[in-house]
Amino acid sequence: MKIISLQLLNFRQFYGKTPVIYFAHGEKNTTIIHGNNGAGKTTILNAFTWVFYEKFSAAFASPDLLVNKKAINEVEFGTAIECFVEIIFDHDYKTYQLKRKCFAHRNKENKIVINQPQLFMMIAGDDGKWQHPLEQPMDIIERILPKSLHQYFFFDGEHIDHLFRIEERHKIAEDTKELIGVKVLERAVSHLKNAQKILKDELNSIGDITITTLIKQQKDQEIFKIKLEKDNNLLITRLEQLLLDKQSISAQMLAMGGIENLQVLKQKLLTDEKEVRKNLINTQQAIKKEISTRGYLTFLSSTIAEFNLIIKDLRHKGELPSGIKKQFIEQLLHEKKCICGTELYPETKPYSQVKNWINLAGSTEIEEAVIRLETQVNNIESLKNNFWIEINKYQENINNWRIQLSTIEEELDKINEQLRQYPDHNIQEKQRQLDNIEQHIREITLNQGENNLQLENIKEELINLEKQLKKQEVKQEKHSLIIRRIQGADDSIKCILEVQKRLENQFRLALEKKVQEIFNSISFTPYQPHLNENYELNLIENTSGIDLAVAASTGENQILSLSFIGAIIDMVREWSKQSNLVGLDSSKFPIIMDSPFGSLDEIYRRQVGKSIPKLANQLVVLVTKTQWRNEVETEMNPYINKQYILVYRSPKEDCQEDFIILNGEEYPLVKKSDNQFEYTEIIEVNI
Amino acid sequence: MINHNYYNLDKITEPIAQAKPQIKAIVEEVLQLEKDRLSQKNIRYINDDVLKIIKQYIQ
Repeated sequence: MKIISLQLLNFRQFYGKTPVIYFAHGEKNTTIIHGNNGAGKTTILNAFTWVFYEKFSAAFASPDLLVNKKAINEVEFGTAIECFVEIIFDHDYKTYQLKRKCFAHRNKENKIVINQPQLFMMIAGDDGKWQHPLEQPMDIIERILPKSLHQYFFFDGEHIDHLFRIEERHKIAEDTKELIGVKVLERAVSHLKNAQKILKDELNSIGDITITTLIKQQKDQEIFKIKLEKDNNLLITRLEQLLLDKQSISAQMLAMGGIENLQVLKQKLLTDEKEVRKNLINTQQAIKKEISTRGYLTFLSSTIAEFNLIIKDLRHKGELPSGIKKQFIEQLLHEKKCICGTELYPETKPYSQVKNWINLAGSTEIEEAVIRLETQVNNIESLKNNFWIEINKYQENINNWRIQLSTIEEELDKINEQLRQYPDHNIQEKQRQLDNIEQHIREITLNQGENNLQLENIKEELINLEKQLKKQEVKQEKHSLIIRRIQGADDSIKCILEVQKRLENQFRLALEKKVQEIFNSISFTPYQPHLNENYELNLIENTSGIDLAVAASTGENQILSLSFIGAIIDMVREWSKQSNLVGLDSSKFPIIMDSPFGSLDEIYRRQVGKSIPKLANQLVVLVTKTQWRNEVETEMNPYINKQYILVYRSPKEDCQEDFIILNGEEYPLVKKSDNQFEYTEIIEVNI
Repeated sequence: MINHNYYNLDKITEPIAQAKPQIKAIVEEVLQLEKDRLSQKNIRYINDDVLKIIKQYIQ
């Protein structure tokens, strides 16, 4: 940041618009503003803090009296007087015009009323065009020179030792951390932790992963399925073999003498049995089909009754069919004549009476729809009857097949019994074998049924497991991704904390060295400034080899504070030049210092005068005539590029005028006012 | 008068430079985000933005 100029309007003792004060920069970076006590030096310092932050320094008396008294009294009651501070500065290749202004007036009680000050900002970029910023001006200022740090750049030199009062110390630590960018690191850690918490919540919402159990279940079922399939194949082979045996024994028995007729009859009965069973199955399937396609008809009875009731009700009320049709009335209106012969013309009473019937009359379309619906409903009634007739027919068939089947079975039993009892032992034996085979076939068929049922269940279970596994796999993928992200956040936090630790340590030690360097260049004492972990600055004496705290004088404390401010500004300047990762986006800072040599003796004043132009990029010093003595002037002269005088106009009758000689020329410091008010004028010193 | 460097910046930022590529990217982007928002009082959605950065680099 480089301050270019300052201008005031009716701000405190500055009446009207002041000339523009331009500030020195570059090689000769120092601007001196001279003024006796009460001339407005502190006002100039506060003009900076007011325009930037709407704040005043601690030593600023009556901040309420912002607006110049002479200007307010010159106008009538109620007329507003404008007051502003305008500053122009460069930062990061842009020029900023910042203006804070307010209005004040006297009310009828002769009291001064000041309205809320407003801040205006304009920015000019490389093209030189002035534009309003897109962001809030305060946000932009905060980024360039944070409010909390302003006391290091705009300060009252006589009171800088206040910086190190015990109650202010913790603030210094905080401010310093902010300057070097620790705040950025702290906030990054805090927000990363919040993000980590959100990720942990996401993880909880996924729940436990049961993928291992599911895979085990899947494996077990697969093994069981293979075993069942193997068993089934064995059963099939066995069954095929048994059927072949049965066939062969039956053939043998057919060839045996004496039982040919029995065997033929038996074969015929077996064929019939097969046929009847087939018929039974077919009929049962037919019933199922009938129920699935037309079964719904049986549930419609109550709905049909309800529908009939509604229609009956409508008919009873005479709404179906309706007496008069809409179309009929529309025709009458169209022909402009009623059936009684009355002529119907719009806007007449008969016309509107007939027209009203449109709403009461029924529609032909509705009636037609109702008739169609009735036909369909009656049809449903007959369909329902047909459905029951069909079902009954099938049931009857089934009964018949069952009777037929039991007759066949009985006859087969009889034949088999006959064969078992047959006098020929061979035949008896063959029949026994056949009975055995049949028994086996029954058992195997039962086993097969059981097996198939189990297989069906397993297949279903496997499909189910597959689905669950897929779901779990997606879950597991998400799960591990979130875990990796939580770990990533954790690693990032650790990394930033480590940087913060190194930064704080190194910065504090470097700052301490720099404070020592500056302090030693000013002070002739053998004391050493020490900066502890809490940024508490103390003077230590070590002449006896043991560190002893020194009770510093006011002067020493001033130098100590000045050294600290100089060190901070220099460190931050260096730091921000090198690191764009953290810290401020600036490598240049101005210092505006009000009366910096208050309690110092000649030697210290000389040393301070020599040192301060080197502390900051730009230096503005506000001094009284007595502070601006030979040694200071001599030391600072090489750096001075701009000088101004605040000429105090006193209304006192016996005002003692004062002047200062600069560069061999005499300039007024105190002059008599040309009216009853005190005010200050600004004049530039010829360099 | 004051030109010496009393600290070693590389040493300070070493943990970032030596971090795994995606951690380095996350740290750098989060710090830039914080720096941009430092001056703003309103830091709504910053947690979401940090989360977005993590999700972007760890996939």
